Amino acid sequence: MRKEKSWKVEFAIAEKVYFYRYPFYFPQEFLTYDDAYDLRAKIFFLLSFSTTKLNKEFQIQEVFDQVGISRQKMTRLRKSIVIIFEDARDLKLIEPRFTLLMKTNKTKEVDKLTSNLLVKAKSVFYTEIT
Amino acid sequence: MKENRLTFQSENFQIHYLTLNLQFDNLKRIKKIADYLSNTFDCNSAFIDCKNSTQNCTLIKKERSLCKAEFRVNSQKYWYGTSLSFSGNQSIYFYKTIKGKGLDWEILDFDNTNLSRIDLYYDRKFKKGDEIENFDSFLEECRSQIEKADKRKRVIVDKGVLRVGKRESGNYFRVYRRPNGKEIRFELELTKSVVKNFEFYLFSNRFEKLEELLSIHFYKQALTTFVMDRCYTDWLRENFRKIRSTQTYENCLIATYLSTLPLETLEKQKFLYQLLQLLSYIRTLESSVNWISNENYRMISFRVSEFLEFLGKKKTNYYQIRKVVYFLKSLQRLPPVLEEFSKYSDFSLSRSEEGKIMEGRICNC
Repeated sequence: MRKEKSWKVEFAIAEKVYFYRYPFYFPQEFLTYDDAYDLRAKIFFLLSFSTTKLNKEFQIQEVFDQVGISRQKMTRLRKSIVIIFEDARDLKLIEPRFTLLMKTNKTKEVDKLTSNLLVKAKSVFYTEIT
Repeated sequence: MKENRLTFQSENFQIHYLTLNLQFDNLKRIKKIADYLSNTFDCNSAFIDCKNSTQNCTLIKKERSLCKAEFRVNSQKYWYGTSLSFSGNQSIYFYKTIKGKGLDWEILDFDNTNLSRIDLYYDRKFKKGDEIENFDSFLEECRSQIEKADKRKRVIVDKGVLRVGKRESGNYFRVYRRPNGKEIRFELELTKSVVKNFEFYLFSNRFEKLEELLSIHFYKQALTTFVMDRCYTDWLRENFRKIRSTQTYENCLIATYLSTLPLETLEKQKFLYQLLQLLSYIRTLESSVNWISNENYRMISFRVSEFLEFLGKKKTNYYQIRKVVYFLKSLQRLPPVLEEFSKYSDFSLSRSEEGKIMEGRICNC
């Protein structure tokens, strides 16, 4: 019978890191990502969320400027961002209320984000649930 | 690394009152304990009879003593014991001293002594920006929030003091401006059955565990009591997440403060995500301790296929396996990444003296 080889990892990690009290816990839905869009949406959500303040800002404009992708790909990224916010809301990580800072510098209060809203917005403000 | 253990020092908590109930009121036995406290902790003692003040007397008085114990008898109608109390700065000093020396439970009679009260407080200093918001209106907002959440809870704001709960309930919170005018005190008084949860750890001299549990209890109570998005609760916003644990979710992704990490390329984004995945996974594994280069390390081993299973991916997917192996190999170049963590995190992940957080070996066997 042929014995299959498998990768085994052995490593040492400093106790300071191992026992660190990580302040943020994201449910299983955040444990992995499906594709590059999902990864980007999640990582930028994590960056906006992982701050000491309860009121957070997701800077959409800045994210799109930073990733530098085509218009078509941006549409997919926007969809992924909408899904992340829906998941975070359903998993009770964040309050189900958003304030959008539009490109016109006006603000808009919404209960639900859509791709169309994100096209016109500079930033999404949301609140972490304690 | 600042958040490994919750201690009074790390959280800036202080004990403000400590009371033990002794199941006797015999003056000879009280004197024996006063002698023990004097000899061991350099502690003065006073005897107070709550019914008959003519009996009040000084048991031990030494010059330059930093600590004073009060033995009270007849403090309750149907209990003929003695309450031994340390208050204010006396309790801070006494607690610090017993942490070093421990208590002799043969003299204090472990079986017949109870912990009956601990007061724990946090002093939040007034800051320049605070003047914008009114302290009294903060207290009123807290009162209104608590009343909305629980109509049966007793909440009073009187003469600049917010009082939450009843003294008899076990958890009694007070918030007030200190007489020095420079600080706001958030003080939690624990009595009755609540304080009994912590008795074992004090009596068995397990102070690390005692402080961790008391800190968690304090934060939990504070979270349900105070309005979180006000300047006076900035300390709570910064610290409350420490009491969260992986028990919240079975499998979850953990993260630290990441807000200012530069992640301009997809490669960097992937690397950070995989690092968080790995840190999340290894915390679910068994580990052993090894002393390397003057520092404790946790030795961990696992199969890549098991890591993939944890992530909810097919463990036989060759592409996924290669990706994980590639990432794990890249950890051998980890120090620069940790420098970035350290530089940009609000609460930094520090490096060991040797500059290595992880060391590893990957084999295909």
